[in-house]
Amino acid sequence: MESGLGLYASNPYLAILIEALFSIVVLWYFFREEAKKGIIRTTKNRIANISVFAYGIIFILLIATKSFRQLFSIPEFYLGFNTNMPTIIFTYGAMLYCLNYFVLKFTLDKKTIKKTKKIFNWIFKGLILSYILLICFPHLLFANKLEYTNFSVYYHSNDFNTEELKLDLDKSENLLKKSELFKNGINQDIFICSSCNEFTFFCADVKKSIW
Amino acid sequence: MSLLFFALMSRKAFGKNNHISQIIFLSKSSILENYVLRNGKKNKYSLSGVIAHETVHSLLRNELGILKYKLLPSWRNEGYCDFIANESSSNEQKGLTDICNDEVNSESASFKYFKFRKITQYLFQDRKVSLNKSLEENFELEEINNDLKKKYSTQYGL
Repeated sequence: MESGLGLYASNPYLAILIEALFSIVVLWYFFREEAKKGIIRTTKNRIANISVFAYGIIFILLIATKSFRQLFSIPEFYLGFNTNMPTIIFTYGAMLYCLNYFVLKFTLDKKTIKKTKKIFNWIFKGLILSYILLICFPHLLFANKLEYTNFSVYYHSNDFNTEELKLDLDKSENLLKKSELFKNGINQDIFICSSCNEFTFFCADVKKSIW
Repeated sequence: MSLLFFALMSRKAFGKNNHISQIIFLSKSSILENYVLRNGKKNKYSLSGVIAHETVHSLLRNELGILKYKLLPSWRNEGYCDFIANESSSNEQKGLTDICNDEVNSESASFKYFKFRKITQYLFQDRKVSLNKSLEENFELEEINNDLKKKYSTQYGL
């Protein structure tokens, strides 16, 4: 599943520039809307708000082409899970905390809180349901399909060499013929992911399997 | 980037059979060179082998029904799948040496699967056990392990 422009991989500085421009527009809009509502901010408070975003940009700039591991010569180690996401969650969490600290607080009445909670609850349930449906019926996400002997193979790329794929499927079938369970054949759907991350999106529960 | 969230746990698989919808997901693969890549590790396995292995899971599930299939011990389930796929993640020679030497450190997942394959192979080829028997009968794994040790020690002089 391709998402975004992939600029962080191909041209990280351009990607960061886009993020910086986006942050500037968001901040400008935020201050303008607040000014319209008559909310007056001190210069110190404005600088603090802008600093949070500036920190995010500088942080990403630092690791645009070289990781912290390389920058500080930290040796390789494996914590048993992918550390990218916790690092990002921590960074954004810290930024949210800072923003929450500097941005003027507003209060919600109990009715609005209840309504907001209900909306979030439904959004959460909707996301879970969509994820389950995607795992069970991923056919829509795969552009191409090859039906060959006992297999229906779904894949993304239009450059797929289907003749080679047929050869691989023949090899699989020859292996399967050794099993007496295969005597009646099978209609097997196979989805070939284009990246390891896409695979783990569909198989988030695989912990110990080596296959 | 959000997809990385789902990569927290699943770093060791080449393929996965979703037992409920009975569909197979394969990790990034090279059709031309017949291999599947594993996330987080640089090793790769044959695409045809992974397809065969995962399809055998479907066949077993169809044969036994989902409940019985879920209750099947992993040595019978994975052992039979690897036996049909005729491939293991563990290095053949190292695996056999570890079986013979009863290596304590060899209790890694890939060695376990290798051992499961060898146990299944032994039951089918040496003891001439039928598939139904191999799936249902109670076997003394300790006894089979000793038989395997003897067999490979003699066969390969390990």
